[in-house]
Order: sequence, then structure tokens, then C-alpha cells
Amino acid sequence: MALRESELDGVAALELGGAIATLVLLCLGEAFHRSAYFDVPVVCVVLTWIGVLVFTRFFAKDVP
Amino acid sequence: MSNVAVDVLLAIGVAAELLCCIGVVVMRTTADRLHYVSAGYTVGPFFVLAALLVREQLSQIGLDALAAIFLLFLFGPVVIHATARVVRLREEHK
Repeated sequence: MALRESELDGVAALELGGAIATLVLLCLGEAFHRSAYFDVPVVCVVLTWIGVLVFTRFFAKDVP
Repeated sequence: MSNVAVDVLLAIGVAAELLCCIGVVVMRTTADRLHYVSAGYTVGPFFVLAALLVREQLSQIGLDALAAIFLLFLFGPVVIHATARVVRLREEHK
């Protein structure tokens, strides 16, 4: 997506990828049945949020 | 019975996420894609959370999953709004 379309389309795909990564980590934590593993998706959500906000801030600076 | 419910809920959640991925790839404009991203932040996670809660009830694991999905619900609209704002700014200055 990032290669074929514009950079903001890539950011949109990154957002969806972050959500899916969080769900995958949740399912993995359940599969291993370890409660400590459930902290990882929480961190993943926050890092995805920060990452996307940094990207949007960066691309907003391009606008004159 | 509980296992069947977990399987069905998880399958619906995965199917929803798959549909969102297909929507993001197929749609033409960024705004259209963001609609599918928004659905990916809400519909799929809700069903996955429901599956986890059916299986684990409100144990430590269930509460941790609840926290993660709650954060996803909370932060999802924020990032989508931020992205849509940049898209609109760029379209205005074209």
C-alpha cells in the first residue's frame, strides 16, 4: 500500500496494521495463557497511536 | 457450548478484520480507506474481546484484554481523525 499509493494511504494502512497487530498479540497471549503477555498489546496500542500521530504531524508540515 | 460461541465470535472478528483489509486495498480515495480503518478499530476488536470474555470471564486475562480493547476504542478515532484532517488540508491546498 505504501509503495503503490500516496503516503497518507500508507499511514491509513499502518493504522489498520496496528489494530490487527494488537488483536494478534491478544490471541497469542490467550494461546499461551500467560497473563503477563497481555501487557504487550496494551503497549502496542499506545505505540501505534504515538507513531501514527507523529506521521500525521510530519505530513501536515508539508502543507504550505 | 462455550467453545462453539468462542469459535463463532473469533471467526466473525477475523472475518471483519479481513473485510476491512480488503476494503482498504480496494477503495480509491484515502477518505474511503479511512472508513474501513475505522471499522477495523471497532468491529473486529469487539468480537475478539467478546470471544476472550466468554472464555476467560472477568479474570485477570479478561480484564487485561478489556483494557487493551478499551484503549483501541479510545485511540482509534483520534488517529483516524488526525489522518483525515491532514488529507483534507492537502486537498484544500491542491
